[in-house]
Amino acid sequence: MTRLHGRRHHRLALFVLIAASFALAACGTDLAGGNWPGVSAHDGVVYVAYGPQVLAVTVGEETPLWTFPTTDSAAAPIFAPPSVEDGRIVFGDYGTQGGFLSPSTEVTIYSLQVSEEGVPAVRWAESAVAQDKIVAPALQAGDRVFVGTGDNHVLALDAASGDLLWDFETGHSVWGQPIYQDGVVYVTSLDKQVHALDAADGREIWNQQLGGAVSDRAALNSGLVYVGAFDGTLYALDRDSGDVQWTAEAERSIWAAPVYSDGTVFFVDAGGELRAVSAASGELRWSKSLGNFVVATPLVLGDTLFVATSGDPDVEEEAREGQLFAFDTGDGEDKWPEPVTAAAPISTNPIEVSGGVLITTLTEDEPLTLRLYDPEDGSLLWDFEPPSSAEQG
Amino acid sequence: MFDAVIIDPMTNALLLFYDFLGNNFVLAIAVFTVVIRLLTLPLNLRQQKSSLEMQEIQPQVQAIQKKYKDNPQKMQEEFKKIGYNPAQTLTGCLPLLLQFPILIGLYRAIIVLLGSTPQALFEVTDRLYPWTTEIVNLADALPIPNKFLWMNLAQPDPWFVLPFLVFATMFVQQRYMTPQRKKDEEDKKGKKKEEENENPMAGMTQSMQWTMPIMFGFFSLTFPAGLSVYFVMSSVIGIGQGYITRRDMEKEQAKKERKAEIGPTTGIPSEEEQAEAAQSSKNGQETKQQKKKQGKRKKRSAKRR
Repeated sequence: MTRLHGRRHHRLALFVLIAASFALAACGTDLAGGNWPGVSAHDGVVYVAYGPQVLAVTVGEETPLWTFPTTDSAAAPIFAPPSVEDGRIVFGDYGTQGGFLSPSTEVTIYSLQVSEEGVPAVRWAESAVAQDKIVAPALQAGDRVFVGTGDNHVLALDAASGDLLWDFETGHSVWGQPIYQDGVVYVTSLDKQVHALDAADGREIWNQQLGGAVSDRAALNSGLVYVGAFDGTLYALDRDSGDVQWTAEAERSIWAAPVYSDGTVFFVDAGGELRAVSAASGELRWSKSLGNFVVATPLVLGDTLFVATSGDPDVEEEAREGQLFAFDTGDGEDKWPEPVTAAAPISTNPIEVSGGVLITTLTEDEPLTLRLYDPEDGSLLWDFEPPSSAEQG
Repeated sequence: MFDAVIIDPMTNALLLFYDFLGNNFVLAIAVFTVVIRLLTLPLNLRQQKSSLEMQEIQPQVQAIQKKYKDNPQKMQEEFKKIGYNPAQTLTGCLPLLLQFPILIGLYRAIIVLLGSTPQALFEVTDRLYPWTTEIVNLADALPIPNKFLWMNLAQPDPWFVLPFLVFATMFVQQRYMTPQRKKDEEDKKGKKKEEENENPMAGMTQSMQWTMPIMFGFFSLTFPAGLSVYFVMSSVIGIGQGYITRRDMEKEQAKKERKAEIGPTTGIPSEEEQAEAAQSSKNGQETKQQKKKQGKRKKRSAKRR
C-alpha cells in the first residue's frame, strides 16, 4: 500500500511538473506580442493591419474589399501601417518562429499589387532580410522601398523585385517610418539618435545623439528636422548637418511624432500636454492640457489640429476611453463643442480619408472599429466593424 | 491578480537593478537571480537536505517494506520510527514547482521591459510604481537595449548556445541537488527498473535528473534569451549551493561514521547498526559497505588488543 502511495505521489509530482512546464512553454510561444492597429488610406480605401490580417475597405461600405492573407490561421501578426503608392501596398509582419530546431524568427516584407478584382496579387515577399518585427510603416520613394526593422536595421529594397540594395545598422529598433527628401533618408531610432542616410547607398551622412529614444518618425520642413524624444524634448535639427538648432520642452516623454504645418510645429507628450511652437525658433505659441495619455500622432487638416487620446491614466486600463479633440491651429481654441469619445483608447494615428477624420480602435475586449468623423462638427459619417472569421466563413 | 502580485513587482525590481547596475540588463537579470535564489534558499536547502537524508535511510525503508508488506499499519509505524514519510516524494519537488510562477512572471517582465512593440513598451509606465519612476530616470533607462553579444534578449538564441548551456548547467545542478545511487548498491541490485519500483523517490529523482535539463533545454529554444540567462544563472548558483550542502552533509556523515566506528570498541553497536545487521542477516543480503565497516572494526579492535 505504501509502495502504491509512493508511486501515486511520484506520478502526481511528475504530472504537476509536466503541466507546469507546458504552461511555461505556452508562454514561450507568445513572442510576437501585440500592438495597436496600423492604418493608412489611399483613394477612399482604408488599409488596416490589425494582427492576423491586413484588411482593405472602401469608405461607406459595410464589407471589406479584401483581406490578406485570406485566412488568419498560422499567419504572422501584421501591425505596421501598409504603405500605398501607385497601386503597390508594402508592409512587413512580426515574423514567425521556426520552432524548436530553428529558433530564428522569420520576418516577411510583402509587396502587393492592387487589383480591381478581389485580393491583390503578391508581387514579392522577402523573408531573408529581417529577423525581428516590422513595426514601422515602409516608405516607398521612386524605385526603392525603405523599411525600419525591430532588429536594429534600415533596409533599402528594390521596389520591383524586393532585392536588398543596402542595409544600415542602428543601435536599437526602428519604429518610426523613414522620411525621404532630396536623396536623403532620415531615420529615427530607439537608439536615441537620428541618422541621415544617403538614399543611394545607405552611407551615413550625419547622426545626432539625443537625450532619449525616438519611437516615431521625424517631421521635415525646408531646413529643419523635428524629432520628439523620450526625454520630453522636441529637437529641431539642421537638415544638412544634424546640429541642434533649438529645443522645446514637454512635461513627459514624447511618443507621438511632431507635425509641421504652416510655420508651426505641433507636438504632444505622453501625458497629453499639447504645444504649438514656432517652427523657426521653438517659441511657444499656445498649449493645452488634455489630461490623457497620448501616443498617436496628431493630424492637421486645413486650420484644424486633431489629437486622439488613449484614456485617463487614473482610470483602470480596461476602462479607459479615448477621445478625439479638434483645435484651431492658430490659437488652440476648441473647434467642436465636445470631443468625440470612443469606447476604447485611440492609440492608432488618426488619418484623413475622403475629407473626414478616421479613428481606429481595437482592444482585447473591443473589436476592431473604424469611425469616420466630419472635421467640421465631429458628426459620425461612417463606421465599420469587420465581420468575424465565422461570419466570413 | 497575477500581474499585480508577480509581474509588476518583478518588472519594477528588474528596472531598479538595471538602473543601479549601470544600465546592464544581463547583469540585472543575474543579480535578480541571486536575489530569487536567496529568497528561496531556506526551502531549497531543506529540500536538498531532506533528499539526501531520505537517500541515507532508503535501505531501511526497503527492508521495512519487504518485512511488513502484508501489514501496512505496522509498516507505517516502522516508517515513523525511522522518520520516513512517503509524501516527501511530492514535497521534494516543491521548490521546483515554486519556480514556475517566478519563471512565468520573469518571462513577462523581460518581455515588457524589453518592449519589442510600442504597446509593450508603453505598458511599462502602467506597471511601474510611483517611487520607481522617482528613482529611475525613465528617459535614460528605456528602452532597454535588446542586443547582448550575438543575441536579441527578447528572442531565442538562434545559435543554440544558451539552450545548450541551460541543459548543461541544469544537468550538473540536478546531479548535485539530488541524491546519487551508490554504485555498489546499484551493482548489487542490477536492475534499475526494479529499484524504481522498490523506491519511488529514487526513481523520480533519477528521472528528473535527465528530464528537467532536457525539458528546459528544449524550452530555451523558444524562450527569450533573457529568460535563458536566468536559467543558466540560477543553475550555476544551484550548483554552488548543491556543492556546499553536499560537502556539509558528507562531513556530518563522516562524523557519524567515526562515532559509529568508535562504538564497537566498547562492544556496543549503535541501534541503527543493530537494525541493519539484523535485517541484512535475515535477508542474507549484506551490503559491501557493511562488510567493509565490519572488516575495519575487526582490524581496529585487533590492533588495540
